[in-house]
Amino acid sequence: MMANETYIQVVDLYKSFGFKKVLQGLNLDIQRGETMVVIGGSGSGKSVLLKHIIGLLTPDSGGVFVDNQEVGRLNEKKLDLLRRRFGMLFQGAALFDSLNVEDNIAFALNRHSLLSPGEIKIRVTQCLEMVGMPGIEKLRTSELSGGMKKRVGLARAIALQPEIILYDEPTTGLDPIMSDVINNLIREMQEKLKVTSIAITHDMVSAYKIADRIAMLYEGRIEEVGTPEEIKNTSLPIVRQFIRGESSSTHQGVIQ
Amino acid sequence: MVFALFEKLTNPKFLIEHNLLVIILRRIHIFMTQLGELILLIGKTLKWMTRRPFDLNLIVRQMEEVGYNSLPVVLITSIFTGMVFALNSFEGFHRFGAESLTGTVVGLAITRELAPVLTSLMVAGRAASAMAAEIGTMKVTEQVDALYTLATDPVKYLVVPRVTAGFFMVPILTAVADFFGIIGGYMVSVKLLGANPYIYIHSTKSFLENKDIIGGLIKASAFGFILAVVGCYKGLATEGGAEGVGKATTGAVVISSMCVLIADFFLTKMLM
Ligand SMILES: Nc1ncnc2c1ncn2[C@@H]1O[C@H](COP(=O)(O)OP(=O)(O)O)[C@@H](O)[C@H]1O
Ligand SMILES: [Mg+2]
Repeated sequence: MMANETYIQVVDLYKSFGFKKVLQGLNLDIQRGETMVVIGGSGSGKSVLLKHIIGLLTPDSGGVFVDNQEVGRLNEKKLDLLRRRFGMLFQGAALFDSLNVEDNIAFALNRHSLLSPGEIKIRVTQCLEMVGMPGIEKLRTSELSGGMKKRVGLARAIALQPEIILYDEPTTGLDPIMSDVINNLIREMQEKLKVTSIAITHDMVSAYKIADRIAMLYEGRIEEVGTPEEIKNTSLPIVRQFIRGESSSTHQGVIQ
Repeated sequence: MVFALFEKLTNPKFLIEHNLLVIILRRIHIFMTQLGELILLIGKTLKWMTRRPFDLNLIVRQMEEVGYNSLPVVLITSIFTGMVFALNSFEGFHRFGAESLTGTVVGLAITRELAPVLTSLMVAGRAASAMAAEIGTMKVTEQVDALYTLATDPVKYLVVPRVTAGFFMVPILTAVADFFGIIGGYMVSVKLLGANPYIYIHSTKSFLENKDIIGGLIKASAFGFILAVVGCYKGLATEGGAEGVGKATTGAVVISSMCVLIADFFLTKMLM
């Protein structure tokens, strides 16, 4: 098993947009080397949480600590250095339209590494092989299907050999088979690269498959954290409803 | 009528009753916020311009987009502007027998004012809108966020090349417009209205000073900078999907054109 060492710590995080309170005192610890899956309904603030962890959003109060550095308080240079230890796979993959597959994957290498063009080419080939898409270097991003985009996005995320990979809804919008491919890839990344991963999703099949621990986000806080087994057998009604996909009267009440 | 309306609108009671004060204050607040953000963006752009890596290939691509691809529009605009300006001036000067001044006036108006301003407005319509649309699309599809996660500042990667291209290409386009505007004026005066070609050229040359041409080019540089910054700002501020991109694009054209015209007055005054 992994060493029990807190690597990423979210402490009392608050974030509102205008009058809309999204995160309201969220606490979450992530151990080095584990895969934490955060589940929660659409619009519950999962992406907002992820964006705080990599410093794309700054908290109203509270903070995120990565390896004992407070993300929101780093200067530009230190934040850049910290970000190089992250890889992020966006929900829509967020590949650069203006670049082909190769240049997308090589983006950070071209800008931040001392590798020669030849070495970068080799690294791109490796990354594409790792996500099971060898030989598509010269394709344009518009020629890729949704699943291929995600895999290229993952290849881009791992190009700089990150210590932490963030996944924003890695299986949303994919068919079940492609979802399974992606789930397997996420497991593989964890085993081969020994990375710490945080994935957010509302796909429970995916959550059970990839998670070491699952945390449920509800009304701006973490409702429950536990192993997949513990979450499956939860006694909390809100968590139970969510993982079983039930819409109860209380839920409808919240929506209205 | 108008006076009554004015009185109503400035009456505090009326304003409060109809929440107008709130609306007006909110408008002012939004305007000041955006102005502040725009100034911050200018500061960041200038800072990143001096830092490595210099993305030469990106700059060249934007120069092609802003400069080379705008050439046809600028050519047609400047030739016809020169032509119509010659028509009007000739007609006007004819009334007191001073047709020989047509060349002078066309030359001055084109180089000092018409070429820089019309070129900038054309580039604002073509390029600033394209910048807002392109960057706006990247914003709503999280590509801008992706840049940050790849430890690359979007200002460095997206804004600096566009602003650099605007700064250098708009004056070059303006120089082209100067030339073709004067040619257009010459053709109308000499070929259509029968002015003496020798006198026309002489009257253009002898009163046109380097200062006029260079002043126009300096203004053009400033306009190119401004319209690119506004286009990029609108792109980066885009929210809300495809609809947001559409709004950003329109906004970029309107605001950058207004900024060009406002800056024109102050720059002209400064350069006098
Ligand atoms: N940049 C932003 N500006 C304003 N509101 C935002 C922004 N980002 C997210 N939100 C709002 O925060 C809430 C949570 O969003 P998000 O984290 O994307 O949800 P999800 O859990 O589906 O990923 C939503 O209501 C969304 O509208
Ligand atoms: Mg989301």
